[in-house]
Amino acid sequence: MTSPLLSVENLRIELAARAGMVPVVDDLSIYLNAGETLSVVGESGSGKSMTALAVMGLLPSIGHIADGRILFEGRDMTQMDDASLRAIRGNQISMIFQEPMTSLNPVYTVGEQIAEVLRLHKGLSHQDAWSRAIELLDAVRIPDVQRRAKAYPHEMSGGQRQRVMIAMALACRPKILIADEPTTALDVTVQAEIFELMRELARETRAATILITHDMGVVAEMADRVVVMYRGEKVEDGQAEAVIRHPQHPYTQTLIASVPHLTTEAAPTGIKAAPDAEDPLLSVRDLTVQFPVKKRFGKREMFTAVNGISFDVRRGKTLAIVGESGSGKTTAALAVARLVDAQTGQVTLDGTDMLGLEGEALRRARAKVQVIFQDPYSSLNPRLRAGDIVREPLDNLGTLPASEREDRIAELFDKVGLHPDQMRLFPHQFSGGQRQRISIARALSTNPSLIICDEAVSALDVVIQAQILDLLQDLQRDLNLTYLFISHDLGVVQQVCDEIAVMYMGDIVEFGDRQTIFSKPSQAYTRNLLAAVPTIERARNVSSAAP
Amino acid sequence: MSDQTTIKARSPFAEAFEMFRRNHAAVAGLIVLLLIVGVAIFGPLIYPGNPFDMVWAPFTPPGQDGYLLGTDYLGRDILSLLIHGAKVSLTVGLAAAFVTVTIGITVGALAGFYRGWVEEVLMRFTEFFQVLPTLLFSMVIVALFGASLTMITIAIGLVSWPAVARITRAEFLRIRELEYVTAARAGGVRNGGLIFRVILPNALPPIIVQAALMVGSAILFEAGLSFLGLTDPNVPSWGQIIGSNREYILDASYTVTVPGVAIFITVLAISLVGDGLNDALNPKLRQR
Repeated sequence: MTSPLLSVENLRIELAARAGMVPVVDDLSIYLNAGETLSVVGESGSGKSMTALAVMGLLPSIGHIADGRILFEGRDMTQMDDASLRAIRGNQISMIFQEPMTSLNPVYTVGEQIAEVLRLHKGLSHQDAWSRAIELLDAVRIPDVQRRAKAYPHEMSGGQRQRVMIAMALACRPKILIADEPTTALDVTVQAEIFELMRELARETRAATILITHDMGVVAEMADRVVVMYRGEKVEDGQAEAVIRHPQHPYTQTLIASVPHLTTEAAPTGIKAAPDAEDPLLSVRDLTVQFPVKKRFGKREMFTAVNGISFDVRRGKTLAIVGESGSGKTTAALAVARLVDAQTGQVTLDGTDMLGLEGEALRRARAKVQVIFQDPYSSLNPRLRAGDIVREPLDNLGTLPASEREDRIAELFDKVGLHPDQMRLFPHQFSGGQRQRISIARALSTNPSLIICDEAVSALDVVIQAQILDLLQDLQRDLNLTYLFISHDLGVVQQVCDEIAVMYMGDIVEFGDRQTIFSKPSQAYTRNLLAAVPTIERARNVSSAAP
Repeated sequence: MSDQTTIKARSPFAEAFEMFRRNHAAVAGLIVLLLIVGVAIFGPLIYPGNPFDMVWAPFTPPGQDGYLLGTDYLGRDILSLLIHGAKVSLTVGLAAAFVTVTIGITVGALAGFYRGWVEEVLMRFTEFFQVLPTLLFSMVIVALFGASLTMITIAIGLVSWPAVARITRAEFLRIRELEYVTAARAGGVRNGGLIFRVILPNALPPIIVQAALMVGSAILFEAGLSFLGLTDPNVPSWGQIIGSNREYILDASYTVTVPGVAIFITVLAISLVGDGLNDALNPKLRQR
C-alpha cells in the first residue's frame, strides 16, 4: 500500500482554559488516501472541528498541538514555518466552513473573492483570475453566472453562498478538501444538491475529502470510510458501510439510532385526539405578510413572505409547518404570535381575534401564545440569570402574586428537567440542550394555549435533539399543550407532529395528516423534500442498522 | 451531560473583572488613576494652602527653595496648583463624559429601537453635530454663555455625544434582532422595558469603553480651551495652569511642562483602563 496522502499520528490538541491546559483531542490517528472521502463524525465538542483546524494550521490562539504529527505527503506540517504552511493552506489543502455567511467577506463581490485567491496562490493576472472565477462559479452551478459573480455575499442565498465557498475551496485544485459541517446551515434539498455537487467535483478533480458531520445519514450517503469521535478521542473507525452495519461502540450506535427513518407507521406518541376536534384552537385565514424591501433611489417595493395562507391547529395537537428557509414558515408563525405584523387575514386563537388587538390588550394576549426559539445562544438574555429569564413573562403577564412566582419558577425548572438550584446560573453556564430547556420553561410560564416551536431543536446535537423532543412530547401529554412546530427537518417533524403543512415560497402547497404526507405526498415539492433527507436505508440499503 | 450545579454562578461582569485583572497594562493604568483620584480628594488636606497665594519669588525652578515643582509667573506654588487642579480636571472629565453618554444613549437608543422616521430625524441631527468644528463650536458656546466650568463641561458634552449615539444605535440595531428580545416581547415586556432593561444592559460594554475614553479626551479638551484662555481664571484646572503660563513657555518651560505631564499621565492611565475594559467586556476576546 502506498503511503497515505495525509496522516495524523497520535495528535493531541490542548486549549488554554481557566483550569490550565485542557485536551480537546487526544491520541488521535487518522489517515486519508488520495481520492477518497473520509467522514469524521461526532457531536459538538468532540474535537472534530479542532482536528480540521489543526490540519489547516488554523488553531485558535488559545489552542496548540501538544503532541503528535500531521504528515501531508510525507512532510510534517506541525514542524513547518508559516511560509510553507501558507503555501499548502488554501492551495493544496482547502476548507469549507459551516457558516457560509460569515466565512465570506461581506464587502467584496463573490467573484472578486475567488479571483483574489487565484491571484494570491496561482499568480494569475486580474483578467485571467476573473475569467477563471467565472468558470468556477459556473462549475458549482451558480445560475446567470456573469451577473451573479458581481453579487455581494448578502445578495445570495445560503446554498449559493456555500457553493461559492466550494468554488473558492476548489479554486487552486487542492489535493484535500476539508468540509466542516458544510450543510448544517442549509435546507435539506439544498444539502442534497451540495452533496451531489461535492461528489461530482471530487470525482472530477480527484481531490480527497474530509467531511466533518454529526449526521450518520450523511456519512452513509457520502463517505468511503468513517472515524467516530467522542470527547476528543477516536472511538471507532472503518469502512463506512461496515461501521453503519455493525457499530461497535455504544456512542456510534446512538448516533445511528438517531438518524430519521422515514416510515409511515403510526406515531408512537400516544396522544389521544381531542374531543372537540371540530373547534380548532387556532384558525388562520388568508394570512398575508409583506416586508418593505428598500430599492435604490428610495423606491419601496413589497416582498411577500406569506401569501394568503389558511390553516387550523386542533387542541392538544401538533401542526408542523415544514419548508425550506425563505418559505415563510417562521414569518407565518411569528405573525400568529403578533411578533411580526401581518398585512391582511384573520387569526383566531381560542376565540380571540389576534390581529385586531392593539396596545395593552395585545400585550396581555401575548400570555396565550409563547415561542420557543431556534438558537439556544441568542434566545436567552446573557445578562439575566436563568431564573429571571423564566420570571420575565411571569412578571409582565402572569396572574400569580409576586410571592408565589419563585415557587412557580422552581416548579417549571423541575418540569423541564433542570434543577431549581440552576436558577441562579447565567445562560452561558448551560449547554445548548439545557438552554433550550430554559427556553421551554419560559414558554410554559404563562400557561399559554399555543406554543410555537420555531426550529426549536435544529441547533442541537442529534442525541440532545432526541431528549428535547421527548420532553416536548411529555409536556404536551401532561399539560395538553398545542404546538405549532416550525421545522425544515422532516425527520424531526415525523416524530412529533399530527398534521403537516408544507410551505413553499409563501404558500402552503400541501396540507395533510402525517401519514398521508409521508406515504402519499401529492405534490412534487413534498416528494423532493422527502427524497432529500439523508437516510441510512436509502444510501446503503441497509435494513435496521440501528440496534 | 456534565453536572452544572457545581459551577458557581458567575455574572458576566464578574468574568469581565477577571479578564481585566489579567491585563497588566490596564491594572497599572487603574492604579495610577486611583492615585490621581486619591490626590484629587485628599491632596488639599495633606498639602494645605490656597493655591492662588503668591508664596515665593516667581519662576523659582523645581526643587529650589523647598518648592518641589517650582513657582509660576506670579510666584504661586505649582505643586499646590497641580493638586487642587486634579480635582477640577477630573471633575470636568467625568461630568463631560456623563453629559456625552446621557445625550448619546438617549438619541442612539431611540433611533436604534424605533427605526423609521425617528431614526432618520435623530441620525440627521447627530450628523449635524458631528460635522460642526468641535473646537470652534465649543468656543462659541463658552464665549456666549460665559467661561464657567459648568458651561465648559456642557460645551464639551455637546460636541462629543455623536460618537456615543452612533455606537449605541449600532448596538441597538444588532441586539433588537436577537431572539431574546423577541422572546421578551412575547413575554409581555413593554417598549420602555425592552429599551432600558433588555437591550441597553447588553449594549453597554462598548458604551462604557467609549465613556472611559471620553473622560480622557474631555480633560484634553478642557486643557485646550484653557490654553486659549477660555476658562475660569479663578479655578485652578490643569489646563488653566498651562494657559496662564503660556507666555513664559520659552523662558520657564517647566511651568507649562509640569501640568502637561500631569494631563499626559492621567489621559494615558484612562486610555489604558479604557482599553482594558474593552478587552474585558468584548465577549469575542473572552475565552470560555
